[in-house]
Amino acid sequence: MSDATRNVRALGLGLALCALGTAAQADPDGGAAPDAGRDAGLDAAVRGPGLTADGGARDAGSAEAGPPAEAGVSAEAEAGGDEPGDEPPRPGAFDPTRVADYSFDVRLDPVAHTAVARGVITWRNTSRVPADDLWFHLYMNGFENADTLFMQSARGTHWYPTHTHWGAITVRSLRLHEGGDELVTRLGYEPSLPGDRTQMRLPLPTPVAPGESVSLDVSFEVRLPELISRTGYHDRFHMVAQWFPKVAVREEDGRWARFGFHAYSEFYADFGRYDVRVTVPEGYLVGGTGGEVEPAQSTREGRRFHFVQDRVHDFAFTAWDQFRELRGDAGDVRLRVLYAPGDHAQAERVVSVLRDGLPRFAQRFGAYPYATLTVLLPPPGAQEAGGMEYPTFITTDGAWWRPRRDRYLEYVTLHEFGHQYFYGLFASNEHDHPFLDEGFCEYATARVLEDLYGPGRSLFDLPLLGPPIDAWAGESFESASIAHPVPVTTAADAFPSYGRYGRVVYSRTATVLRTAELSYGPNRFGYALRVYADRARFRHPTPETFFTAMSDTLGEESVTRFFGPALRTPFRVDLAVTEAESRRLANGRFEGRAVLEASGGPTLPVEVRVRREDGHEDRVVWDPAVEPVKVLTYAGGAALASVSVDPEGRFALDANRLNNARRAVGRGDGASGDTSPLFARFAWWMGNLLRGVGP
Amino acid sequence: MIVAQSPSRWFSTGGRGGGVLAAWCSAQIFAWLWAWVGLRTLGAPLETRPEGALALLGEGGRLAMDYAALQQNTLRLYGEATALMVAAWWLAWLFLGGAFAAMGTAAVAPTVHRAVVEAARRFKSLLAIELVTVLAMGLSVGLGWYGWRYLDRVDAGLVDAQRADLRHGAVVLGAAVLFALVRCWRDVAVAFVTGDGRRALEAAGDALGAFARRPHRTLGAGLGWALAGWAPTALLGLATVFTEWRAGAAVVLLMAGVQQLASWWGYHCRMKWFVSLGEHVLRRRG
Repeated sequence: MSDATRNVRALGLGLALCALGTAAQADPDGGAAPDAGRDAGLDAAVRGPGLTADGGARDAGSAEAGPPAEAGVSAEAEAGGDEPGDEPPRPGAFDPTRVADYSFDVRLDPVAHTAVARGVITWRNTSRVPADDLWFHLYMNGFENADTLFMQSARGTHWYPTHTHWGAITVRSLRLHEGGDELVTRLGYEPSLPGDRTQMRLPLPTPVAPGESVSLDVSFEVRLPELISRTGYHDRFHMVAQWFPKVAVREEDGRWARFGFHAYSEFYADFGRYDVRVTVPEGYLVGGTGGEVEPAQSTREGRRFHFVQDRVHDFAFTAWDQFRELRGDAGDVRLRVLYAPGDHAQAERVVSVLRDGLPRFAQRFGAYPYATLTVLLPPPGAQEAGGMEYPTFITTDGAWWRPRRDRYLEYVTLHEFGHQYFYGLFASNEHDHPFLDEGFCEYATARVLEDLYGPGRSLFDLPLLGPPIDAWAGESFESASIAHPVPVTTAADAFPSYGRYGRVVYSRTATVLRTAELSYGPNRFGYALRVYADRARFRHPTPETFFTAMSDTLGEESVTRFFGPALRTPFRVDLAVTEAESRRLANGRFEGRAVLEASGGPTLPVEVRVRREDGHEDRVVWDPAVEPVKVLTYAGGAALASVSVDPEGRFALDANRLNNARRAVGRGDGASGDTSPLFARFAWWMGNLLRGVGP
Repeated sequence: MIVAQSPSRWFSTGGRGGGVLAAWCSAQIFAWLWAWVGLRTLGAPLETRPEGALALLGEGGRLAMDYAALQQNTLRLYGEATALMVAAWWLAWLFLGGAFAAMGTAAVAPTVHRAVVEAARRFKSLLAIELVTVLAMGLSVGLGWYGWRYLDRVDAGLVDAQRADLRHGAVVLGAAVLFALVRCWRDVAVAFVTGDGRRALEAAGDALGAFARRPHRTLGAGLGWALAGWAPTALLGLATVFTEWRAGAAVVLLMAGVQQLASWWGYHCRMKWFVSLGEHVLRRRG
C-alpha cells in the first residue's frame, strides 16, 4: 500500500528527533507470555575459559547449517517458477489468474474531474458453490461524503480531508452481456453499514454454477474527489484509482470476501485480464497498469491510450498535460517514469534504484513476471498521490532537494515495488490480513535497502546531520514502542487507531521477520521465505500459508515457539542485563557475576558476550524461555569489564536495546561509561545559544 | 556620553578586553554548568553502557531511539528549561546590552562597571530600541510565514517542483535578510544611544540614515564581523561532528578547548563591530 509515506515521514531527515516525541512507555498489560517451546535449534554457544553459566547454557548447531548456499534460491523455489498453473491451482482446475476480466472504455474529463466508462466484466465462479449474486466493491464511494465508513474511520488521520470536493461512482447500467434486462434496479448495498455504499450486491437472474462464468455490460460514471488517499485530482493532474466496480473475491466455500472500505484497510480482488482504453484531451499523457499495446491515437473525443495487462487484479492510471517521461529498463522489464518538470534528477534516481533493486527482489521472492513497470512522481501539490501501489504501476515520493544519501525516495520506491509481490502477485486479503502485505513488504524493503546500501546506514547516511540511520532500526524501534500491543494477525478494521495499525502491521511484522532472519540465519530464512513466496504466487495466501511454509522449512517448532506467538499474540518482550559486578580476590584473581532477565515473550535463544578487562571475550547462549532469570558467574585473571545480551542485535523484537549491555561495577576504574561527548555537545550548543542572544 | 575616539587595535584591551572576557566567561560558565546539569539528568542510561555516550551511534540509530524514548520526558523538561534559560539570558542582555556598545564606541574604553552604568543611564532609550527590534524581528518572521502561505496558494498551479520550492526558499531567505537587517539596525541605533547620547527616536532615524549614507560601514561591516565571528564556530562544529564521537575523551576535551577560543573570538568580533561603528559611523556623523 501506501504507507511508505506514513512510515517514511517518521524515518526521514529527523528520525532520531521524531523519536523524541514517541512514547515507548512501559507496558504493564501488554505482554502475554506465550507457551514457548524449549529448543529453536539456534546458534552455537561458545563457552570461553573462566566462564560458567549456572543456568546451564547449551551447545547447539549453527544457524547457518542446513540452508541452501544462496539465500532465497532453491530447487523447489526455482521449480515453483513465475508462471501460474505449474500445479493444480484449486479443485476444479481453474486458472487463478483468469477469474475476473475487465474491458473498459473510459473517457476522462480533466476539467469536470469526471470519468465516464462502459465495458464488460466477466467473472468466473471458482468456488464450489453456485453463486446467485455478485458483490462488487465501489471503493470510490468511500469518498462520497463525511458519513461513509472510510471517512468515519479516517478521522484523526492525515487522510481526513479539509475540503468537500467529494468523489463517487454511479453505476448507470448493468446488463447481462449481449442483450439482457437492465439490472440496475436490482442493485443493493450492504445493509449493516447505513450511509456507506462501497459494497454493492447484484442478485443474478440465474445462478452461476461452479466453473461457469457470467459477463455483464456495464456503464458507470465516476466523479473524482480532490486528492485523498491516493485518488483524485489536483488542478489538471489526475490520479484515477479504485474507479470501477470491482468484483469481490468469492472464496472456495462460496463466501464472498467483502468488506466496507475502511481507512486502515486496503483491497482484495481476483486476478484477470484488464483491457482498458483511456481517452483524454489532446496534450495529456497517460500512464497506468500494464503496457500500451498500440500507439496512442487521436480520436474525435481526444487522445486514446490502450492498455492491456494479464494476470493482475486492479487497474489504475494517471493523466496530466505536463508530464515528463523517462524510460529505462531493469533486465527484461521496461521502466517508465512519469514526473513533473524539475524532477528529472529524481526520475533518474528511481530508474537507478529499480535497476538495482529488481534483481534483488527477484532473487528473494521470484521473478517479476510482467513486462512493464510505470512509476509516478507526483507533481507539486499532489504529494497525496505518492507512495501507493497498483499492479505494474507504483507512485513514489521524494523532493528534489533531498540529497542522495537521504534515501527516502529509494525507500518509498522500493517499498512500493515490493508490493508488486505481496499485494500484486500474492494478493492476500488486505482487509483480513494486512500484515501479509504491508508487513512483509516492509521487511522486504529493509532487506533490499541493506543489500544495496550496506548495513547500519541504509536509510540515512549524512554525517553532518546526525548518526546514520538503518531501516531495520526504525522498524524495530517502532515495534518496540507499541505500548499496548495487539496481535499482528488482527484485521485492519479491528485496530483501535491508525498509529497502532501502522506500528503493528508494518513494523512489528517486519521486526518479527528480521528476528527470524538473524536467528535462523539469513540463508535458512531466505530459503523459507522463498518457499512461501512460491506457494503464495497468484494464490491469495493466508497466515496458514505462511505458517505451513515456515513449518516445512524451518521445522514445526519455528511456528509453535516463535512465529505463532509472535504474530498471533500481543506481547512486549525485553531482555536486559540488570546487574554486573566484578571483585578482586586476595590472591590477585577476579570474580564477578551478572544477572540477565527477560520479561514477556516470545523469545529465542540469544548470545551473551562477556568481556574481560584485558580485552578477551567469552560467549555463551542464554535461552530466556528456559531461564527467564539467569545468573552468570565469572572467575578469571582479569576483571570482568562488561556483559552484553544479544550484542549483535539478532533478537530485534527486544523492546529496549539500551539495557542489553552493562559495565561491571567494582573494577576500580570507575563504573561510568564515557559520557564526555554528550557533555561537550550540551555545552557547545548552550554556549552558542547564549552567544546568539547575548550582547 | 563618551565621545572621544582612539585608533582601533586588533586585540581589545582595557575595558573592551574586560567586557569581552566578562561576557564570554559568564556565558561559558553558565553553559558548562547547564551542560553538567544535563549530563546528571540525562546521562544515566548511558553511564551503564560499556561504550558510554558512543552508544548513541550504535545499531543504526536504534540505541539513540531507545534512549530518546526512555528519556523523552526528561529531555522535554530539559529542553523547556533550556529555552527558559536562554530567554532569561536574552532578557538580561536587554538591560546590559548597551554596555557592550558603550565600550566599543568610546574612544577610550571605559571599565565594564562604567559601561554598565552608562547603559543603565540610557536604559529607557535602549529599551525602546529593543522593543522596536523585537517587533520588527517578529514582523520579518511573520512576513516570511505569510509569504510562504501566500505562495502555497498562488503556486498551486505551478508544475515545476524545483521552481515552486525555490520560490518558497526565496521567501525564507528574504525573511532572514530582513531579520538580519533589523539586527544590524538595532546595533547601529544602540551605538548612537550609548556612543552619541541620542534618544531612542533620534537614534533610530540616525541608524537608518547611516544605512543610506555609509552602507559599507554599517551593513557591510555588520555582515563582515558577524561572518568573521561565527565562521570559526561553524567550522569547529563540523570538525567536532567528525571527531568527538569517534575519538576518546582527550580529543573531546581538546575540541572543547578550541571551541572556547572560537567562542571568545566571536565575542571579540562583536566588540570590534562596535569599535568600527564608533570610528567610522559616529565620528563622521559628528
